[in-house]
Amino acid sequence: MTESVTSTAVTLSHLTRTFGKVKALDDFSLDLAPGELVALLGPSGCGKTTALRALAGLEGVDSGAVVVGGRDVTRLPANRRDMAMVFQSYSLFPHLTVAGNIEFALGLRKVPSRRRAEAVAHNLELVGLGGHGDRYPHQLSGGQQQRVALARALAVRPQVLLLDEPLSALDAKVRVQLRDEIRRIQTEVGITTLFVTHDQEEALVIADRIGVMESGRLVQVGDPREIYSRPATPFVADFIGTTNALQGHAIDGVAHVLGQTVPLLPGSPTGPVSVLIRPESITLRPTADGAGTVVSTGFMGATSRVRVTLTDGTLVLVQLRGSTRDGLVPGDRVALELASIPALAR
Amino acid sequence: MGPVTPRGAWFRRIVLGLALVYFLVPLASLADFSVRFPLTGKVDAAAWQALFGGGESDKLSLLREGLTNSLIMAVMAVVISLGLLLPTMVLVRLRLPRMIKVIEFVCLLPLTVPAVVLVVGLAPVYLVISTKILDSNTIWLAFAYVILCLPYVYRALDSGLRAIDLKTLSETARSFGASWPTVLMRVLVPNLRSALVSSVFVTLAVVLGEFTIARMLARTNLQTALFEINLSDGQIAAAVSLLILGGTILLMVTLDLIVALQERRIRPSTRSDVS
Ligand SMILES: Nc1ncnc2c1ncn2[C@@H]1O[C@H](COP(=O)(O)OP(=O)(O)OP(=O)(O)O)[C@@H](O)[C@H]1O
Ligand SMILES: [Mg+2]
Repeated sequence: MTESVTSTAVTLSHLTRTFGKVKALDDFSLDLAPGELVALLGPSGCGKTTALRALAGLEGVDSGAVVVGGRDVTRLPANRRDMAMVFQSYSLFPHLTVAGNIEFALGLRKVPSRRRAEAVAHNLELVGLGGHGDRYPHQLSGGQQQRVALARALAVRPQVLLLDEPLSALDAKVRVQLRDEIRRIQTEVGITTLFVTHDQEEALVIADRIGVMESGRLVQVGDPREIYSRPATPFVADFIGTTNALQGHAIDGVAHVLGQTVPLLPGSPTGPVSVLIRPESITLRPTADGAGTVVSTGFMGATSRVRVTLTDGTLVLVQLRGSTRDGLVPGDRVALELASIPALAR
Repeated sequence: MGPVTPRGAWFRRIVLGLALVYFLVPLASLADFSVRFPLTGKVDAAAWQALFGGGESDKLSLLREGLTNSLIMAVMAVVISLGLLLPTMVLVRLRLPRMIKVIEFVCLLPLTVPAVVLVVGLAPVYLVISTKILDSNTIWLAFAYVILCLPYVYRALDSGLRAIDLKTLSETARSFGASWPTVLMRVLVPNLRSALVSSVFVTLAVVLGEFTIARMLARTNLQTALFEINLSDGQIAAAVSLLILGGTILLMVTLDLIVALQERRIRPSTRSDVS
């Protein structure tokens, strides 16, 4: 497909939504560029679904504006916004076949009936389910049902595709497979997409940009690399990937940790701090007077994980490239060498 | 259901047999009564002849009037009760879940009010309806029958709505551009088919069998007509009752079969080759 489905983008500005005392959305602002896939990531209850539903028009907002393709749709009901959703729970209409489901959606979008059959076939092909058109939803596996839901959403060529944890009901293998496929199709079709997930790996792999949410607020937006290597707050650092909190002293933009210096990211305080260091930013050198003692080692294929305790009892997780672990056994004394990668302190 | 032991099978057959006897003996007696003259024991088909012989009589026209009224009211009651309750229940579930209990209470209330008491309350209402708003036509009793049916229709729809993922289905349809009427008629109704059919059944049964209100408000429906006829000619009344019963059973079995066939198409008992 060469033609771009949409030339429009989304602006969510200063959205607020409260349920009783809970601020599900708290001054939430986010822009989506045309054709971009943004993942909203955050712990359970942080307001991801509420943000997505506000964009879909399924949830009203107390204040703020939703602009899609330059048009303010804040007051438009869901059925007059040009969007399509895939939910976590299976949302196919049980009384219609696979083809019937897609045709129904096309009919609602006033696609002339002679063009529907072709759209059905094309989109089923796209999700790898060509020839399954006359099955009923209950005759499909969970993964297949979500593929059909995706095909149905793509078939109507919406301005924005909304996915609310579409993979979380699936088992691990199907999840990874379908995740990669969603990304492939999304890039191929070039559709602006908001993807909600609480799985950080999913977000890192699939998204052009990630928005990390914490209790109704968007704490950081950026591409996956940036979110991972330059977290704006300790919350983001903790939530994305794994971090070790090492005691140190911060002054003039560097921290002194384990007798070494680590550059600090903006936003870090000064004085006595915990420096958040990724497991892969540490290497181990066996030495009799090392500061750490190996507790356990685990081989993970391309990498291995080593747990080390420091003299003050702090447990440190270290991730080494496959072969580097060789020779380390529990009880060995090791020195920890910190890579000179900017880290966040708190 | 566990495996059926021979003893279990016998037990079931006995229960079934007893139930059949319980239901069939009165019917057989009714049939017998319709052809046997009570005092002499002479068998003749006079009652059936009167019904199907093509002759015209006061009794028959009364009966026809009662039956017509009851059928019209049954249809009205079905349309009104479903038209009222289905959208309300869907809306409440989606938008005002806190109101579910209130709606349930209101809908089940008629169960707790005896028909006679209901009449006392309905009499002045119908006085106004027949003099000021509409007229004294019997069919307006359908409104009262809607109230009688409410608890049963509520129960049927409630269990149907529990069985589907109402929120996801309607929100999916909404996001694809469906208006609320479209969501209701083209997404929810097809998935609530068996619940809707059972509410139709129970409404038909209630309306066709209603006597107290019609009698006390002096209207002619099927049951009051039968009652009148029974006063002068018990045999015709018995024959008609039998016919009505047969007709109702036939109707329900047909509806049930249609639904069962459609359900089989959508939900076969075995999943075919799933990859
Ligand atoms: N309809 C509602 N009524 C009351 N509270 C609500 C409603 N919808 C959401 N909330 C509350 O708003 C907050 C955010 O909910 P939301 O569903 O957006 O979270 P989420 O990030 O999608 O979580 P999860 O990962 O568990 O799906 C939660 O505290 C939730 O309890
Ligand atoms: Mg959610």
